[in-house]
Amino acid sequence: MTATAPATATAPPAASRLTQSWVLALRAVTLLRRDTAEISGAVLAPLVFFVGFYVPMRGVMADRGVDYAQWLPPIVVLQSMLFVAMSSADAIAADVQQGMFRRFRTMPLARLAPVAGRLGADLCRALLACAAAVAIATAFGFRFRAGAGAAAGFVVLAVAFALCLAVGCIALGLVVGNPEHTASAMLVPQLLLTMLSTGFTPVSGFPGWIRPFVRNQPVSQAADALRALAAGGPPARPVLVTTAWLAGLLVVFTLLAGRALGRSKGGPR
Amino acid sequence: MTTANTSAGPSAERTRGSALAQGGLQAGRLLRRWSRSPIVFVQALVFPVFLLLVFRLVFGTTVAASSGGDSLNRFLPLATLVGTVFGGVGSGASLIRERETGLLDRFRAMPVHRSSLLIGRLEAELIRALLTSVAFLAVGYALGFRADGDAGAAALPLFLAVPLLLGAAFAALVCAVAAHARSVASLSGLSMLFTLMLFFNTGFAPADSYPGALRPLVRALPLSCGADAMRGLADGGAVRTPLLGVLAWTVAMVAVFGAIAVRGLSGSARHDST
Repeated sequence: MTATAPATATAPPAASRLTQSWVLALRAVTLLRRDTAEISGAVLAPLVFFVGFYVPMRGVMADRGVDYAQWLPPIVVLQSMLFVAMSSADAIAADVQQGMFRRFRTMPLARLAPVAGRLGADLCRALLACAAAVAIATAFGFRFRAGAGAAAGFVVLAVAFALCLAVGCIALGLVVGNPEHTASAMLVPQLLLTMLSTGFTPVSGFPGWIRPFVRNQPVSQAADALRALAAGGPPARPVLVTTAWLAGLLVVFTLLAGRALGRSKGGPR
Repeated sequence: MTTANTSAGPSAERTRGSALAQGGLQAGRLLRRWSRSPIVFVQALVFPVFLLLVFRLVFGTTVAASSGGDSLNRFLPLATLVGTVFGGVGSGASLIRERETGLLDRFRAMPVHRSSLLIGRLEAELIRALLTSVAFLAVGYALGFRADGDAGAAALPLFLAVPLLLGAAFAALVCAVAAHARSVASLSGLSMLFTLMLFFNTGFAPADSYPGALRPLVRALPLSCGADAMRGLADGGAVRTPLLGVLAWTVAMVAVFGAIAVRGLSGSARHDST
């Protein structure tokens, strides 16, 4: 990921840049492994949200002809992926606040290596959260009906969603530099994006004026794509749209993150 | 002034009056700090208001179809309760940080009544909960909500009293956990529990939507009592029973968790001095 990212500072050779990212990813994973609260959060959040929506809403949705066990898992996965990305912002902001980035700056380190390292840990958490979400959903009747390939596509798309948004959250964390403020900055946007999507309710459940937004916003598209990959609908269109969204966002976020790192002579305060 | 001395403590003033007066000082200190903190504002007001609007948009049609009545009567109580209860988690984090930065140790070295720390916190929480609830009521009225049940003129004061009571109850729980927690991260379990309660109460969905075995439990939970009482005040349902439930939960939680919190706060210097 970093190898293709634009870097304006004096960059070390590519091989060592990979090694640097790898070492920093190991650091982030080690920190993650010792942080039981973080791990249990990544696993518990999808459980809580799945059960929390599924149990009370199942009957109502069945009345409307929606099999909620099959409908709900994509948005629970995506929401967990958003949480993974959000706590990435917290972790980066904590690093900035504690002076880790100032320290990185004194070292012969590729500028984006800390970001790549952070993404390595995010990948682990995203896989963990995805597994937890699929496990709880399966317990309540969710099934992959389109074969192993589509199921693998489901996981890849979900994790790509998490990593792409994580780059944006990292940019935010770098700029804000205070883990408490990043958390509250993300609270409302993630609520709007997940709730005002086709993830929890079919678009017919929304008032007419908001339906165009609900139908076309990226979380809805991603939820549709995941649902198609799980249930065996025609996945091509939503998957393509989602991939386009993610690619576009990734470019923007990478530029923002690079800019945030380049701020004030090569890094945040 | 000195006649009511009861428990041990080398230098602290131990009279009831001074504990309350000191509590007021602590409350003022906390409120001043919260008023400067964007997080408290977001958690106590912005997030729940969005939650109210979004729940109404997403589940308004569905819930109205299944349970009848305006979904605002259902979601306004829920959002108000969520605002008061979730806001308390942020305050718990600040309590832990006060211990980490040594502020609590400092208070211990001063003639500060130990329980004034908790009293002040509860007072500040009550004021915050009141502001949140009034703001919600204003948003609700703007959206067309009216508290026109059978309670008449008492409806609005009672409607505001419910989130205040439960706000105090949950603030005591948060303080009890925070006083014993090792770090801010330990509170994440608590916010998971609160998130679960957000879904498992009769304010989110009618009791019939929950599986039969869970129904009695869901009905008895504090947020259900609060949401039922508030909804009753709004549209003329039963008020007395859920209101008594709210009172019972509040008394029990403040007594039990308050005691645990005070114990934790007293021991905080010992935990930390290593």
